[in-house]
Amino acid sequence: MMARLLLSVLLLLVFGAGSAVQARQSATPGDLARAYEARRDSLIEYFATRIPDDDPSRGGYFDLAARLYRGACGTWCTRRMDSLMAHPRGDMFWMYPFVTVMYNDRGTFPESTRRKMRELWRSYTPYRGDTENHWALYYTSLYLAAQRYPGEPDTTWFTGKSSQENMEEARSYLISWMDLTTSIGQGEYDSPHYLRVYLAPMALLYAYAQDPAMRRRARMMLDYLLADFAAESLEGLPGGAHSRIYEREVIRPFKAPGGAPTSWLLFGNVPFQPTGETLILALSGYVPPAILHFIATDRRKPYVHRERKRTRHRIRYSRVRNAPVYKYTYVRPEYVLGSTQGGLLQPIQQQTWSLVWRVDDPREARNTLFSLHPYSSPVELGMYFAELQEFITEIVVRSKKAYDSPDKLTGGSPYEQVFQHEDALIALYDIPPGTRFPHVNAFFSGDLRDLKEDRSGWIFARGGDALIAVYPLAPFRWEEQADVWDAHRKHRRLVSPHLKNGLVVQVAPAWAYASMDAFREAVRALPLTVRTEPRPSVRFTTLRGATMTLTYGQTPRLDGEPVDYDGWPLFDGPFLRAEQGSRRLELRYGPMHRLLDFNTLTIREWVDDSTENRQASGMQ
Amino acid sequence: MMRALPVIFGLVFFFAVSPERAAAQSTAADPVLYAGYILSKGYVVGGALAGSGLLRRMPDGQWVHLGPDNPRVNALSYDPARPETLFVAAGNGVLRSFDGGRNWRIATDWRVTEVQDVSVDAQADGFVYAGTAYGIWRSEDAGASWHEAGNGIPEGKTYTETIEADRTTAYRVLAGTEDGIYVSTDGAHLWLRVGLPGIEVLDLQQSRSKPEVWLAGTYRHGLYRSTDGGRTWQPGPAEWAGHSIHGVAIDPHDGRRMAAVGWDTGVLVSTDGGHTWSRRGRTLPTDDFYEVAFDAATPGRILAATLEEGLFASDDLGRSWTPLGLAGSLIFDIAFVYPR
Repeated sequence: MMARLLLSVLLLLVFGAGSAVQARQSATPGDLARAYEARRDSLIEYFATRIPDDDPSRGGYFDLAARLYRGACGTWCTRRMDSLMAHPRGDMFWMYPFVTVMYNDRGTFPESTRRKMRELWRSYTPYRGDTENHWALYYTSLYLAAQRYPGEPDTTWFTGKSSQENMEEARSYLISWMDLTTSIGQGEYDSPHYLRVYLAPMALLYAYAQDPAMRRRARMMLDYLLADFAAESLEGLPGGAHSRIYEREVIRPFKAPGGAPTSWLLFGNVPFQPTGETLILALSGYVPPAILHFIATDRRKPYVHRERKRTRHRIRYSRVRNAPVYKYTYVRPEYVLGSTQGGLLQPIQQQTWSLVWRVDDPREARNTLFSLHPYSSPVELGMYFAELQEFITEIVVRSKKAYDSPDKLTGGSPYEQVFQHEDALIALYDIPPGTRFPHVNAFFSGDLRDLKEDRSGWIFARGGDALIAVYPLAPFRWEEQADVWDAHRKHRRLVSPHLKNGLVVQVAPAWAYASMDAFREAVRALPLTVRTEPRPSVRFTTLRGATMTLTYGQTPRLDGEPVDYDGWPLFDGPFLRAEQGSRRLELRYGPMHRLLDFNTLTIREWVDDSTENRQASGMQ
Repeated sequence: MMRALPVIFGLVFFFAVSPERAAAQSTAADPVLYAGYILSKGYVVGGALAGSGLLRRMPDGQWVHLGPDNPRVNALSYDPARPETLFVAAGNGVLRSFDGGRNWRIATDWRVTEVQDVSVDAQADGFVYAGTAYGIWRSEDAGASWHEAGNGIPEGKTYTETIEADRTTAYRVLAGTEDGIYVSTDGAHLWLRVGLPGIEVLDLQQSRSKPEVWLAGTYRHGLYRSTDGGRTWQPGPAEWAGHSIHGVAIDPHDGRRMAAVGWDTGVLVSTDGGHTWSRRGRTLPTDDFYEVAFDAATPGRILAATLEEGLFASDDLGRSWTPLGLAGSLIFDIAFVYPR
């Protein structure tokens, strides 16, 4: 057992150290596939060996699945499985690990254990939940369970429906969700936490669905979701704006379980972190196409990437079910700055904008900066949750403890508006009197160096190789920001208790300036006009010479021209391209193209060998 | 002392009778009390669930669990012609049982979710209406198939917390939406708003003894009353006009007796048909309530479902209370099923 564990660790060191394994754009698809297989095998090995054979008191369904996959169970698997099945719980979060075990049992379990497994689909009633990830997990699991037990009557299922009815309903929902996502965008978009619970169900369908069309759809959705993630990541860390992120993760990007662990397995560009969902991917047989690797890892040339997403389903207080979300992300080797337009786009855990800078070792880094209005209201919650309003905040705070805190670091606000162009950003806040928590928070990591308040009103700092300038529109104070991971680490939170408020942010790569002083001088010299009355308003000329104008409540203007939100595409950037409503996504990397067409359920690949395309990607 | 009692009762009285015996109860002479509940303290979706679903109260006061452990059982309705046919409004959809709760089926598919209320049309065979977070659905075949039925309610205003079929008029049904009260007279094919524009309606109840009388509870707009079958609505007492009223009830034995509960309201009681109201329930462990009902078997008895402090009964119109268990629970609905 110890030897296995040592082998696992060795493999992880060889294939998993992100800083040691930098993107190799010269690697061949074969090289990439072999490296991926090594990481995949080491992850399976990790889960298959982390619990000693003589300890049936520990271990979950993922440990069982890994052992079953490797055919290395002994008596441990049956004892542990029987124990786990005695008290099923977790609703849809029970369903998908359980299905993973079901499909990896190839004759290991005795008949008595299998009967218990079957019986649970009758006796245990999982809640379907109320989020997009809940439903993806629920219906994928139901689909695969019904497939495993075909032709069985309604009395044998918790739904009271037959195997065929369950499968048809699950299939209908899953296809509907895929159509919606590929037409007007994902609702729980770009979540560093929840990406994994979309990848896991798609991986399960890809691995185990018998219907070739469903397998194809799942395969294409895996490519789709991963491309979406890859294009806005920097060395495995998701950057920019997110639909849902937790308070703990928002200051420590590496620890978001949907981001770095996924990137480690698929691209090998970040240190190892094991998760059950990446294990499912590893077991599924999915191998990422080489173009995904290049999109995720080639950051030699800066680029702007735009996306159109949608809000989660709004059930009240909104004229539209799914309002559009306009994402803008600027990616370069030193940092990612990304944003949405602001507003209540998601309940509770929205991150409207953020800067993430590159570090050599991200594991302990708090390499991010962002601001928000800490909005808390039953109106926001009622918009998305079918609970009684008077009680809804208390219900939410039971699981999302920071929601009703003035110090919180996540959440959108109806009183914010953001406009970004390349590595400059304007965030405005116009908070009505009487609003709960009438102030603005901005997180300044303790990792920042050279933090200095300038007489000009700018605050300067350096994060890695990112030079940062922040201009608050209103007076502020500094408060100490605790680090939830480490009591000895402290950060600073800019708190500005003014209703008419905002920030201007300008970032630049360190190499572009001879010194921090040179950067300060350049920023000080930039034309900047701000006012807060009657509404916050900023006119700012960036380091790259663009003039950004934003008055709260009005359409932003770039060099005098209004931003065209109506024409905002589903994906638009050097790597990804999709039109709204198209149900198609084209992945591009230099001469390489991969077209996912959900209308025809086809994947088409081709190479455009023109010189222009080679130069555009930096490929030689 | 009063505050400790509910916990004890809640623990002792759970699940002491088999569901089979409980199902047989539906043939007894008295109306049977059901409760949709979740032992909610500490629960979040995906977490360990201590108990949830549908309960039936036995004559000896014990609660028996029926059907699945669905964490959201928001409401119960039944077919008066076939009292063993039950419908439950649940998070997973509309659940249906043809055998008094022994066996259940999720009667709807994925399109119907977060069902807040369900109501059987007693005068229109096979018609069942469901109010959901996404609007109104209708079945014309006793729940076998469902159709979206929000015609007349503007897009973006379809959230429906409560729906009630008029028990005296076929195809007539009232719905409480986020934007007022709507009435349909053709089995939910077309809706017309009759009152409370801009006000979110949380509960609707019709008097059994005077079917032209209705009560409505609202979100932060207090209580409303109609005496013409829901065509027009008059506001209730001004002192409660800014409160959220989560539950309203009219005594089936005497339509002059009414009750209402909500957030920081205690138990509001009227004995003159809703003209005047008194605040009661001050000895209860909380002022916050989810639901209220009059006992269908015992004239004048009020049942009040507190917020996680248990279910209580009062035989003196709210002056004193007896705990009935379910401490620690959110009790989404308390409803009586009348024997045929």
